[in-house]
Amino acid sequence: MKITANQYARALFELVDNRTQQEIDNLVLNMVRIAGKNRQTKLFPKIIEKFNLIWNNKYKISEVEITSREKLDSETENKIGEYIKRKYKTEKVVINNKIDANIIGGIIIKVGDEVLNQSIAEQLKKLSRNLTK
Amino acid sequence: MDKNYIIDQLKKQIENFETKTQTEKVGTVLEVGDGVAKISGLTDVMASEMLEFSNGIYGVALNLEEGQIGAMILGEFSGIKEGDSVKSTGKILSIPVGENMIGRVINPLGQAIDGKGEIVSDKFYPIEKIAPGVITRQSVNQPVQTGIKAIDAMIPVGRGQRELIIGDRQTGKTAIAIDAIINQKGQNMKCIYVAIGQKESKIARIVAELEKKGAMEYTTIVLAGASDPAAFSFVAPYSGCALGEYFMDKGEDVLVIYDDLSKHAWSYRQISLILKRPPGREAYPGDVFYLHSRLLERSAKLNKDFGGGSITALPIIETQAGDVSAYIPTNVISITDGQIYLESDLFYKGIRPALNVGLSVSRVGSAAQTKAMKKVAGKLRLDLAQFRELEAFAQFGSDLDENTRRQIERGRRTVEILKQDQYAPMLMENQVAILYALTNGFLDDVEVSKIKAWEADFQRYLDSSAKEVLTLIAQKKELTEDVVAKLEKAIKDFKDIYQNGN
Repeated sequence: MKITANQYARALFELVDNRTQQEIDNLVLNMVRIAGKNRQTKLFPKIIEKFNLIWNNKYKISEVEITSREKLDSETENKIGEYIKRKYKTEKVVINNKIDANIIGGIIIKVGDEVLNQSIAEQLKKLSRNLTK
Repeated sequence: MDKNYIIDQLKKQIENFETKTQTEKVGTVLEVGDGVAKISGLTDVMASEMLEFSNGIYGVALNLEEGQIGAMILGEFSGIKEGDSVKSTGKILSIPVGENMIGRVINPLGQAIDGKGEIVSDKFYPIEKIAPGVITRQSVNQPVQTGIKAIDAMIPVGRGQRELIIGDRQTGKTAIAIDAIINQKGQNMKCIYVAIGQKESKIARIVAELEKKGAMEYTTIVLAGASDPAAFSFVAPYSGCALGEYFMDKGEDVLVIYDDLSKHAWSYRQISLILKRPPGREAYPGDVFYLHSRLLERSAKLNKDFGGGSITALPIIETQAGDVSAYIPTNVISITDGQIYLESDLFYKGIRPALNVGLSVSRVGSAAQTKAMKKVAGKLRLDLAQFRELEAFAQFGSDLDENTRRQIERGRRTVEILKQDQYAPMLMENQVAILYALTNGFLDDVEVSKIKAWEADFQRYLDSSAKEVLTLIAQKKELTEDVVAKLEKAIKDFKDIYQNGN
């Protein structure tokens, strides 16, 4: 039977959890060898993605992608971080600030596949749809 | 009205506009092609939930797999790119329903496509719904008058029944369905004609014909054209049924025609194969049976406690070279309560409707037949059966004994009477009158070649000079002795006038 990306990621997580740096180096190398032997190296991007998910889930980390027109100052970032912590009941928030002038203003907060769209562009779109209806 | 007023109004509108912001589940398109998209993300999406692509086009989640979902796209898919975002709506695919759908041509999403303006409705019905259960149902007890002598007499259809119309291409399947719609005028029936993968020219012709006969006043046409994506053809019958259910829930009687379910199965096969579901017999996916059974099971006659409405379904299946033992025809035959079997041989012989009386059955309809019709129909069926048995001897002509000859002659006249032109449905009372005349030997002295003309004159005579007999049959729906006496007198009077007139 073929091993799926999810299974690799879970195995890897269980192996590397609470190990020292050196042990981890060896384990990861081993795992790469096995995947290579099974000719499944193309699964790596997926394995990394899944591993991230499992890790974040275990250590209650949320990765947030915030899109704004200009770079957020640290105070706003902290505020949003607090909000995310409360909303998703996590302990740590990793913020990734993306700059996009097309949203005109406001912010878009994305956690996993949940999106909170508070951009001016989106509101204008809703307004135009409402007016033409 | 001046310009400033409009601008003020606009300003007010914009000022009062508020957006509610809530978190939405969003996925991204991984790949798209042939009307189907693979989407990642969108956790918690439901099976057959409506999705909204970033360009406003809707889709339906069909395959829920680990890590990705397969969705069919309802509309033009060339504008959807890889990486586009897809929002889940939290709603099962539904269509707007309402009284203002009547007289319109709509697409399977309930949008008008007849150019008569948008249809506004605040009521929505899900297109997929579990059929009414046992306690809500009642056996059929009221007839659907198709207006076609052969069908109303020998293969009666009741309200709430599912009667399959099956036959090769060009045998008049749609013609029967359209005649049935035309005949529903004044019968307290809503009609829904679902065209699945049909040529738009054909639909335009049908709409024009229905409008001419005044049948669009109670008819809705749900059209998934041949150029529309397969997803439309797949959804169309369910939309039609959902609209029918709206009227049924209001206690009304509905006639739904699915034209045709073979194309529906093809479109579902296409979608399934593109979604990489494993193919089975004739490359159809494993659940084609359920595809049709869940649709046709939604036709029902509800009992009084549940409003007493009904949906009668006339599904149409097109066979290839008369092969009824193919996969889809056998499936649908086994689901429905009988079939009307049309044959191209009969059609070319000039017997139209090209009904094969031997292979056509109605399993429940006779319970709903009017008593008057039942009385004449029993004899009619016997006459025809005997005629078919003896037909082979017919070529011997004079060598036959008197009894056989008489039966063959009667059979010939029966076949002649059962011929009927398209768009010329006949009322029940007129049918009873002519069939009574036929089965009781009043036509035996009329030449076979003159039967059609005789019948036409007879009907005209009844409508003008013997109206009271017709109204009597229509009211009593029974051939009591006094009715029979009056009817026989009318027939005799007509024969006297007719023979002397000639």
